[in-house]
Parts: sequence; structure tokens; C-alpha cells
Amino acid sequence: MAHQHGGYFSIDLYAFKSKLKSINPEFKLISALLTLILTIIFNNIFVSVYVLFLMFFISVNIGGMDFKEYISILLTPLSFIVLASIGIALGISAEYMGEFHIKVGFFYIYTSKDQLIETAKLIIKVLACVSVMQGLILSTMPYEIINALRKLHVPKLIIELMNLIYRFIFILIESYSNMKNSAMSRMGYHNFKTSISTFGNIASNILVVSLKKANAYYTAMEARCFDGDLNFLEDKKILNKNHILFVFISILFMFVIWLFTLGFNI
Amino acid sequence: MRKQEKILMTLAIMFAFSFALPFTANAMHIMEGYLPVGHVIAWSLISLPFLIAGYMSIKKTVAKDRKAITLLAMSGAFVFVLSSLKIPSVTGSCSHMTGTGLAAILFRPSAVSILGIIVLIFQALLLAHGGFTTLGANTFSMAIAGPFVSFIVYKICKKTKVNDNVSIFLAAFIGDLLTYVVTAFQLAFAYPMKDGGVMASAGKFLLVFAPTQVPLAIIEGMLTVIIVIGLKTYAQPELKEIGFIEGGNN
Repeated sequence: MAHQHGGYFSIDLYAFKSKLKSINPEFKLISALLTLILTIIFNNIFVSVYVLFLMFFISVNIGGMDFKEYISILLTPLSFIVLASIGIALGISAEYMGEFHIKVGFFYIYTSKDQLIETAKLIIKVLACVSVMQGLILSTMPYEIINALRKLHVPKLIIELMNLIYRFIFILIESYSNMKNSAMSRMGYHNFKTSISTFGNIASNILVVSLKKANAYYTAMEARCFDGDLNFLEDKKILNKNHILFVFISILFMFVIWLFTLGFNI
Repeated sequence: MRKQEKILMTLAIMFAFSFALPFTANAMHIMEGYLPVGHVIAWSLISLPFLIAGYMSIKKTVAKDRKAITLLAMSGAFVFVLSSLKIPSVTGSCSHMTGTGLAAILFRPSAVSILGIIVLIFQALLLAHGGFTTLGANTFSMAIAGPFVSFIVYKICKKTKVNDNVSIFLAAFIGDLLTYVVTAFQLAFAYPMKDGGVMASAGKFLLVFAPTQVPLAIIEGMLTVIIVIGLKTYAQPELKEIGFIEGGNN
């Protein structure tokens, strides 16, 4: 599988394969945020559908992402969407109300056509927004996003923490998978009770390992003249006029679709 | 008789439904796109003072001891990894800890606010959980409200000399539960009901998310206790280093 770091699910590896990775990362970050905010402000089903297809086109057709993998990542938030939609679409009442209802014991679960349509519109908007976010993360390496944040004047200390945390995450995950394998080979997960205690022990062991590694890292950094500043190399990615034009036209279309569908009563 | 059958049928359907979906009971990150613009801005502004306070406190720590930066970064990575591990569950669904209660007890809530927002950004970037526009709201529920309450509960229990394990359980359990309650209210503010308003809507969201979140909070409490027991047994010097246990001899 493409998205594995030693048996661990992570989607940042897609970015290394994406054909869009040579585009300037700050430009990608800003256009993604702009598209996201506009999608939320317009709150218009036609704009949402347009964004959904646009991002699909960008990620799959231009970026060269696998269709099935794209869909499976798009559906990551499925459980949240389902539960939140139930919460938004359905109502509970002690009295008889709504257009559709089921009687459960002494109360009614009800809903109406309007509520269902609102919920469907919301789901499409959420999927559109998720696909915009994905378009960014499937084509941009996390360290590039961190660098872009630095250029947008996020405090230096936070940028350094982010850079270090990003590197440490994979070190800890590797230690975790080693510990998990060895616990599994010793029947550490053979029932719920042992699983819980194994999990707790592994988690506390990871903290111990991580603190030890933090010390080793600091020594290593100091040996390389660390004096409070972390400097990372970065690729120069030049802003291309065609890319700006593409994003400008895509966003312009959002306005056009919004204007044309203002009168539609859906 | 028919009424009972109906109830039974509904319950059976709900039960089947909860198994049929590929459920990942996460710590309820509000997904990208759920909040209207006003709410996005409001929750970011509410989180801002806490983040500034957290930034100041981290800056002070690092200025005092430069070595603290790797320690803080490792703690952040630890919270991320903890929150991304699949915890054992009875139903076979896939669920995760929030880890914020433990982090608040170990590293102080002010530092957790900054570590929390970074972890949330990485959860969006690496796991596609949460999002950029909902970052403010998620930061408030998971990196501010939960940890602060966990810490307060822990301190109160310490003051009143409650058993150590019980106080850790309560801190993690209540912190996790509060995160879920705050998220339900955040959703309710964004989607109030036509008849009944915010409170009715909040009740609905609490009810819908309860079957996954309440057991999760209990498991989180239990796991936190086991983790702290493990740490106290094997990692005395490390605990002193991060200031969890007092004592000079290292």
C-alpha cells in the first residue's frame, strides 16, 4: 500500500508521488484556503457540486491520484458525517409532529422534507470542503506547508515545534509498531482485558522512549551547532503564471455559478 | 404487543446500523465545512487568548532551558501518536484516545493548548481528521476546554486527597466527556432546531454521539490510569524531568 509508514496509515506519502508537487506551496495553501472560505460563504449546492468535481479533476486527472484511493480518503470522515447528519436531520419530540415520524416508545422521532434537503445540501458542502483540503494535502508535503506558514508569519517557535513534531511522530510510530509486534507475539492482545493493559503499558513505554530520544536528539543537535535556531533546506518552487490564471478562472466560475443560481429555490 | 415489537424492531435496526458502518469513533473532530463563517471566526477568536497564553508559557520555558524544545516537541509527537493509535474495543469498531487529559496532567494545560493545535493541524494533514476552517472550534474543545478541566479536576482531587488512581481516572474521564459535550454544543450553535433552539439541538447531538463517546471516555480514563502507573513504575527520572513528580535527586 502506498500510504504506509511501517504499517501505519498516513496520507502524506501521496504528495511525493503527486504531479502537482512542483507548484509553489504558498500559492497552493492560499488558493485552497480561499476556495474553502468561498465554498462556506456561498453555501450554495451548485457551487459545492462544482467544487467537488473541480477538486476531483485537479487531484485525479491532473495530479495522477488513483481513483479508488481518492474516494477512500474522501470518505474518511464518513462516520462523523453520518452521526452529525442524524443529529441535524432528525428531531425527537414527545408530541406528534413533522412530516415523517416513527413512534419509539413514548416519544416520536420526526423529520421533514425541508430538513432532509438541508442535510443533503450540507453533506455535499462538507464533501466539497473535504475535497479542497485533500487537494492541498495530497499534493503538498507537510514540511512545505510548515514552510508556507513560516512565510505567513506564524511565530518561529511554533514553526520549529511543528518541524520537530513532524519528524518525531514517525520515530515514535516506529517504536510503537515494534512494541506492538513483540506484545502480539507474546499473546498480549488475546482478550479485551489484556489488550487494555498491553495498550496502556505500551503507551507509557512510548513516553519513556520518547523522552529518552528527546535527550539524544538535543545532544545530536547541539553537536551540530544548534543555538536556538533550526534551519531547514527547501526547494525553490517558482510561481507559474498559468497556475495563477487557472486558479483565478476556477474561482471566478464559483462566483458565476453563485450569481446564476441565486434565484433557484433549492 | 405490537408496540413492543416495534420497539424491538427499532432497537434491532439501530444495533445493526451501529455494526454495519465502518465506524471510526474518533474524538469527534468537527469536519471541514460544517461550521458557517461566523462560527469559524468566533471559535478562532475564543481560542486565541488561550493560545497566546500557551505561547508565552512555552516561550518562557524554552528561554529558561533550551533543552525544553526537544522535550516539548516529543510531548507533542507523543500526544499525536497516542491519539492515532487504535485502542482495543469490544465491538470491533475502531476508536482512538484523545490523549489530552494525560497531556494536561503531565505537561500543564497552557503548554497543551499550543501542542494541541499543532497536533490538530497534523491530524488534518496526515490523517484527514478535522480541518482548517474548523481548527478554531476543534482547538477550543480538544486543546483548551478538555485539558483545562482535566487539570482542574486533577488538582481538586489532589487537594482533597482522593486516591491517586481515582483522581487520574476522573481527570481523564471528565476531560474527555467535556470535549464531547463542548463539540455537541458547537454543532448545536451552528445548527439550532427550528422549534426548541440551541438546547434542544444540543440534546440531540449529545444523544447521537453518546453511544460512541461515553464508552470511549471510560476507556480513556482506564488507559490513562494504566499509563500513569506504568510511568511511575518505570520512568521516575523522566517524570521528574517534565515536572510531574517533585523531587531533586535525578
